[in-house]
Amino acid sequence: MKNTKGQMHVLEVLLVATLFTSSINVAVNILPTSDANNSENNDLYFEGLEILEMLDKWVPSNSSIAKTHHNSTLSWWLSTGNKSSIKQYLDSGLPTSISYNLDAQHGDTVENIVSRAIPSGSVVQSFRILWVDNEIWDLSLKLWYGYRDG
Amino acid sequence: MRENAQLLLVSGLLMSITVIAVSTTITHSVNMGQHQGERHDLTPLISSLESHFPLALQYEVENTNATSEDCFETVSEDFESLFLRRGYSLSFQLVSVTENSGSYDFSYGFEVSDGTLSILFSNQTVSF
Repeated sequence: MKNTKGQMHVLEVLLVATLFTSSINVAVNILPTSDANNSENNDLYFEGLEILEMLDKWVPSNSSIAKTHHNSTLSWWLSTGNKSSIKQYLDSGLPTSISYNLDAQHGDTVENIVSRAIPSGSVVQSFRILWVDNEIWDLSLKLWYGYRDG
Repeated sequence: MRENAQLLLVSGLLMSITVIAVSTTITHSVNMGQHQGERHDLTPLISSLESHFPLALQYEVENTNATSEDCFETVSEDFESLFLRRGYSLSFQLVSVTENSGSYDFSYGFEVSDGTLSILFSNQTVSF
């Protein structure tokens, strides 16, 4: 009798343990994972990194210009202040659902390349470091999902 | 009395195993959740370093009176601090530098990391 009682206790403990484990596992599995809210921002960030990289690695067709600006169209346009071409490239290269703002810092100068009002919501900041006109340029490309004005 | 003690011991062991299993599961799930879906791609950063660091180094060497080692340190610190501001760890290491009649050959390495993915380039050379 005592032995049966003991076995019952063991079974009860096993049952409670299994139920406890199962309930915790179910609770953890149905929780949203932390990337659920960040995957879009992650995509946006790399979209910015890659579009700046592509423009940087785009060799100008004119060999003299290419040599002067180290085979970089981005360096050429930054060096010559060709903001309209940079804007045109980014406008056509980024999906229309994405808006952006582009700033450049070099030395003590901070200049705006493409100006758009930055919304108060979620904004992602991509960047590219490059050497232009004997200075290090730090480009900040702020990106967000939204209407692209102007 | 002895049977009760054994029962208590077995129950305690089972509960301990259960607690360990549950906490391990939770820890694993949380860790997976934190990194699931993340993209770790350092290619754009590496291309930036490969294209522009040598240019900055060449300018520093040709336009300052500092030693080539000091020039390397200055430029690498500039890049390291800029990358650090963006959340990336970057570390340059000068392996060797030789100067011959105004020509320089730098051999160096660098390691870049986003905290999860780390890439080491140990054999970079630049000559000018």
